[in-house]
Amino acid sequence: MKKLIALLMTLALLVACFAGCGAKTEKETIVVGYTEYAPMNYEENGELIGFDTDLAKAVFENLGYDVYFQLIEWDNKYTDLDSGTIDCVWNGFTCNTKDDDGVARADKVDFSYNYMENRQVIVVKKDSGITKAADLKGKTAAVEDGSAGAEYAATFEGVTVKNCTKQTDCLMEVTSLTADFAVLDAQLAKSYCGKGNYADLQIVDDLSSDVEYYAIGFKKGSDLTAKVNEQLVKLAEDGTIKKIAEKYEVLNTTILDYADQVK
Amino acid sequence: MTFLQVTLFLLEGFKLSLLIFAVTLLCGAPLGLPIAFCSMSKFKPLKYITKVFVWIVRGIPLMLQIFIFYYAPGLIFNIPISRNINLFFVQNYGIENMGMIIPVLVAFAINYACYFSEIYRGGIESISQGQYEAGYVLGLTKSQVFRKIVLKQVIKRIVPPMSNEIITLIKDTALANCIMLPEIIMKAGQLASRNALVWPLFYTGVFYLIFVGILTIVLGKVEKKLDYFKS
Repeated sequence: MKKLIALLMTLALLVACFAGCGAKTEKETIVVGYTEYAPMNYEENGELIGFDTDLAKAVFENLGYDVYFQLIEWDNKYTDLDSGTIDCVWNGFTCNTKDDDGVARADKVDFSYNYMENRQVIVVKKDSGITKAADLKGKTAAVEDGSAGAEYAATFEGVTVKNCTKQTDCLMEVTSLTADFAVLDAQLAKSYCGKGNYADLQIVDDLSSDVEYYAIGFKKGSDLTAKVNEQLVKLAEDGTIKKIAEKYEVLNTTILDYADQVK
Repeated sequence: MTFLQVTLFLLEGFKLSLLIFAVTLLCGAPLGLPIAFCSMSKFKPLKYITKVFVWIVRGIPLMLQIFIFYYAPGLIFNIPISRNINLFFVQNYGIENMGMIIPVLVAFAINYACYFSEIYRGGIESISQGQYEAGYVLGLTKSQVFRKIVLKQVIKRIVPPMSNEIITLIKDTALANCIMLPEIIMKAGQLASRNALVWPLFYTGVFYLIFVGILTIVLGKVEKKLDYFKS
């Protein structure tokens, strides 16, 4: 027991040391939480890129911070924010929706201005014969746990919901026939369906949700929200956002005018 | 991606699994010994505190313990230790994931130490009282009896249950992906999302099978080597 206590104390000391060291770097580092999916945050040739990645880098560079991107489990995003593991969720975070506990996301985190439009879409196998809402009755939906898609799936009658940990896992559920359809972000669905192992998947356009918005989520009361908002307006004006949007082919859904959101 | 590329990519994740395996074994196995002695202590308070500790650690799912070590410092004390460790190693040494590796290692080492301690205790208590008495009659001291008579039989007896735990350990390392530590199964998941490859997920089983195969042979050899005191 003595050895155990000694070991634990050494460990605590070590940890305290690290806690001190971490704060000593000249430039403060912002940790951005993300999950991997194209075209927002994804890896190509070992490098993290994507619309959200590039925009986050541009914003925090202007604010004088270093940025570090931390992979998170989407389901744990609120715990990650509250525990300080990350400073913000910048990952196609749909802001005007409720979680499955019925609480609006805007009540749990502080959101920046909306920077992109999004919809929830239904993805099916090409030979599934699903074309209208009535076809979904009695079917199983693969959704990402805690996502806006999960919320949308619950609005259809007679649908069994199966939770996955990542949106991309939902695609695998459909290809492997463990689910009949997936409910996903339009941005993601468009960039995956019809490619590689997902060649036999397609989006049912008639069943898409109403328009939703992406925003950046911060811990409640964070002073970063206002700073980032300011930068979004600035980067929209000088054309940086447009340039990034063109690079990732998401220009038609990107918001370039923040005038009506600035209070 | 070719088969070779996939294998190398997965191997990168399996290295982390092996790291967790090795460190847990190296820290957990010795740490189990003092815990075992404390739980057999004649000093009652120490004995019961240790028993409660072992009960808590064995009674809570390992995944939850990983979450506790990862999140609790930030949530309760407002000191995001894992974040600071991570940034420290990334900025100074360019090593990724340390902020997740350390909480995982701490959780694993403590958890397995408790399981090991119970195996040690079972082994030590299985030696009959008559052997101690015989030793004392021959004029050996208490520590001589333990080292020369008891311990040798204990080691032999605990090899099979220890082998069991060791084999379970390598598979438990997969739990680390609950806080996004990129061990082999998470790596396979990344291939599914990045390259739309589904088969690597099942291919990961081969890595575990090969490693457990090696372990089985090695542990079998150890068991044979300890085959003294034929009864």
